[in-house]
Amino acid sequence: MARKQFTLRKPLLIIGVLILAAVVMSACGSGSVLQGSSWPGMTLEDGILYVANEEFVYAISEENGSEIWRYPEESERNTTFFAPPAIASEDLIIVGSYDTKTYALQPTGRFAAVLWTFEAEEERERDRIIGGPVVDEDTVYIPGSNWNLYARNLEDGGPGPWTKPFRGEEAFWSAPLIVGERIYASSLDQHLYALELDSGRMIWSKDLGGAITDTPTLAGKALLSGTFAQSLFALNLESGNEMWSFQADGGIWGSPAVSDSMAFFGDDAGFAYALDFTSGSLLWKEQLEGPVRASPIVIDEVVYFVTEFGAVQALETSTGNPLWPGVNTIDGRLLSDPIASEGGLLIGAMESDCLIFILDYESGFSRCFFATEE
Amino acid sequence: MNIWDTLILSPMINALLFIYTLLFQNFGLAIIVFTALIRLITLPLTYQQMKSTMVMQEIQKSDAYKKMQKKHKDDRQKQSEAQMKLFKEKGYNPFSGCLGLIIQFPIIIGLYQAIIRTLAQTPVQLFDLTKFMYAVIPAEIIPLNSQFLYMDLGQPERLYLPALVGTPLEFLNGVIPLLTILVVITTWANSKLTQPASTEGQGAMMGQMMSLYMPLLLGYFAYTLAAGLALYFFVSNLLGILQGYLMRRTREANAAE
Repeated sequence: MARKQFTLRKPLLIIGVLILAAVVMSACGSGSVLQGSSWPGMTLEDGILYVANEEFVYAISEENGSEIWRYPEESERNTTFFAPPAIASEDLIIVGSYDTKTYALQPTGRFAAVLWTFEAEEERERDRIIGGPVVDEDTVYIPGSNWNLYARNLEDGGPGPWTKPFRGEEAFWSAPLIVGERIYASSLDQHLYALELDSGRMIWSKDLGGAITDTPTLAGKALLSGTFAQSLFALNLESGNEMWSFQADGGIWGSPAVSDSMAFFGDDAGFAYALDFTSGSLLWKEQLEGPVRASPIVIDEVVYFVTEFGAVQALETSTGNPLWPGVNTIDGRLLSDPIASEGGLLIGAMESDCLIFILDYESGFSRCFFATEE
Repeated sequence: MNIWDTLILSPMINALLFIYTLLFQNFGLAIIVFTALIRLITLPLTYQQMKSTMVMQEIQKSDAYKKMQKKHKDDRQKQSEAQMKLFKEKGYNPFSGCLGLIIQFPIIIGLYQAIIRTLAQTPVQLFDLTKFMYAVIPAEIIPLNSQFLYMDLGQPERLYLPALVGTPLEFLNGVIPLLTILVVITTWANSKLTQPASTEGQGAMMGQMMSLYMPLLLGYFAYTLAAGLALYFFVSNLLGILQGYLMRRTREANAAE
């Protein structure tokens, strides 16, 4: 009897170890490779905050943080959203998904209906939508991870004005910027591209020597764009020629914010910088509490930075001096771009019980604005 | 960063990235070379483990072992004592192979995590990766080129063969998980080399289960996870098989002399 028990126990132990290994490796792997996770993408439009986060897209009242609608009604396997939604109108929201589809949503009470979806014909499995789509008149421009930038018809998701998508040499992870008759797109292939809006024909491209993850910022007659290779560039809007460049201490992930003739940005070494964007000269530089991924935002001569370690720091644009004594921290990783609202600064958080915090501009105090049911 | 990240994961990630920069920014080649390096570093451990397996196999084939089993077939206690005595006489330590496996385990997990992390597929993964990078690794190499042969190493591997349509293999829809099949076959072959060839009792059962479940388990991983990981499994198995073959030949040659 004793022998039988011993014989059975060992194989069961092996099976147990194998199952455990399977669970551990699957858990590490699926989250990393197949499904993905990232920080929430947020857009504020006409009193409604649209948030793309994990399995859901939420429409939230700017006034009180209550949920207006969500999509989908129930969590769907392998559908993950984190690209900031594009708002064509209150009845038409375009949102890209990590499942490779772009959805056109129409609110229907507490939920939303899908009007159309767009899925790339080429290299579909790689076309995870990470950058936010951009709407211009009757066209939606969709940055793809399959190295393509698409122009699609807003009404039905069908072919748009371009005969074919514009192809870069790596993924497009950020929303393109439309200025006049041109569209500017930054790519992980280290190039900033200027294209004709109505044809997709390339006007110029500029190699910035490092991957670019965020949308370029318009600063007068220049485009400002930061790179992983720790440089911020100012390019002539018309020609793409370099006007100046600035070497930072760390990689630059977010778009610079501009106000008057100043540009503000943070880096992953945890520094905040203010430059004169006409010359590229440094006005001030301050050490923050943690690496900066998100774009800063300027409101009433104060520039707000959020950091990965949960710090929210408000600095005077002219001097870099802190507005509040000490550092206000939020429980979570703050990697999303903050958004200015009537009631305060809206801040998306990762790895937190609260998805969106709201911070009072004057006092710097924050509270939870929106938490998911989960 | 915690101790694991600092001592295991970060050096592995940076070694992988350094090899990548040396090998024409080809991540497939970097994984192959890195896997070979790791196998080289852990050679003393895997050598001990394989040697232990081979000694065990030789003991089990010996007349003394068979005689001992026959003599004590009705008394498990005495059989066990006689077996331990025989092991001692032959200089075989049943735990020497286990120690090698236990020490290798964190290295395997670290390597797995290093490959997954360097194949960052989302912004937050890329953001996390850059924090692991030493200053000597140029930021310009980011993002890594994940194309290798016909594969995207960041995605599950599938070989597209449109020519299959219209053949008896049409049910595959023109897609074959080639690397998964290779991982299953090489894992099975490798486990045959590293498992003691018990012919009866719990040892035989364990060996059979390992030979069955390990290929299925790694095959499942290779099918569902990033191709970079499947490539690591495949290369590691091939090197394990080669090591086992060379060691076996050497022992047989020594025994013949």
